Amino acid sequence: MENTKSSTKTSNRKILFGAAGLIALIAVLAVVYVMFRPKPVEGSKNIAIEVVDKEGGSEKYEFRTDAEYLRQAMEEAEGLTFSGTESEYGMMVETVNGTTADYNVDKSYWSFYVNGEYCNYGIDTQPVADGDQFSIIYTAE
Amino acid sequence: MDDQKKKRKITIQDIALIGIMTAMLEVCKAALSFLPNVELVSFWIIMFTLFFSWRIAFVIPVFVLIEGCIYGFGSWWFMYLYVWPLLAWITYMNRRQQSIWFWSILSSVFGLMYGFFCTPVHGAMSIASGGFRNGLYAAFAWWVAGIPYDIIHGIGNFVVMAVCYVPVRRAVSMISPLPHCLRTEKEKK
Repeated sequence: MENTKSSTKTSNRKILFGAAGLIALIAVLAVVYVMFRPKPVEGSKNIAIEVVDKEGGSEKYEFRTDAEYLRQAMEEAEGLTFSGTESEYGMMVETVNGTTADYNVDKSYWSFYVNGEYCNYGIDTQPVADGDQFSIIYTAE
Repeated sequence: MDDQKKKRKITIQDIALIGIMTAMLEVCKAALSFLPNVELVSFWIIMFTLFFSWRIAFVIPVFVLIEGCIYGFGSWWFMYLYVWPLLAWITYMNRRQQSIWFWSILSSVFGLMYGFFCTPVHGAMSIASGGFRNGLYAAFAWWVAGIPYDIIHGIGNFVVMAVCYVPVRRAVSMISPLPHCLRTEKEKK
């Protein structure tokens, strides 16, 4: 009887430690996210978006925007049209200025660059900063 | 014991069981695909490892292969190659645990760390295309961007295990005798 009580106590203590550890892990992840998440810059910004199509032809859009993320900036760019599939991570861009890149058909896709570096985020979470130069390039493997 | 191990052969019953387990994983995954990062695959892999032990070693490769055939062999597919076996291995190493809270916490931690576990593949791809420093930064940024989804994943896994563990355990014990290590003191008698 005593043994059962003591083992229940130990087991309860382990569960409590486990629960505390779980909450601590969630807290650590939340802190890491808050500290290192992509941070947008607010205010008026000068940016440029260059679209390089299938044939290598280039179209450049230079404008001022208050957009925090690339998607909004793309929507504001006069003459730039785009569409794609909505997913849990935001829009997966498939068509830009009427040209569709379909990976399943010919292993082609639209790749996004910011200031010459490959974008680490989707267009819904890619921050926009003053002076950013974005490139949207038709890429085929 | 060793003789028994040597004599073990895969029976038709085992093959049928492996097929049913794989089908359950696929159906449950497809059924919940509209809910971002809420899934039953972790739950079933833990339960199948507990109840049907070594058979999971056949279920996971078949499941991963079917997933690749359905959705394409993208970078996520390479993550599947080691993430699910890792969960099965951790489960197998703790198979004597009977506490619902232990399994709920383990399942939740797996969900919370899912993005982190997947980072090596993304890191390797980024390093290959952008160099070591840029690659590491890209992998870190990719993991951080996914943390909100990992937290949803962890909470979802906890709730699923807390709600489903007892009824599923009871149902399995009705159709097939539980492994000895999983039986409660009362069931052992």
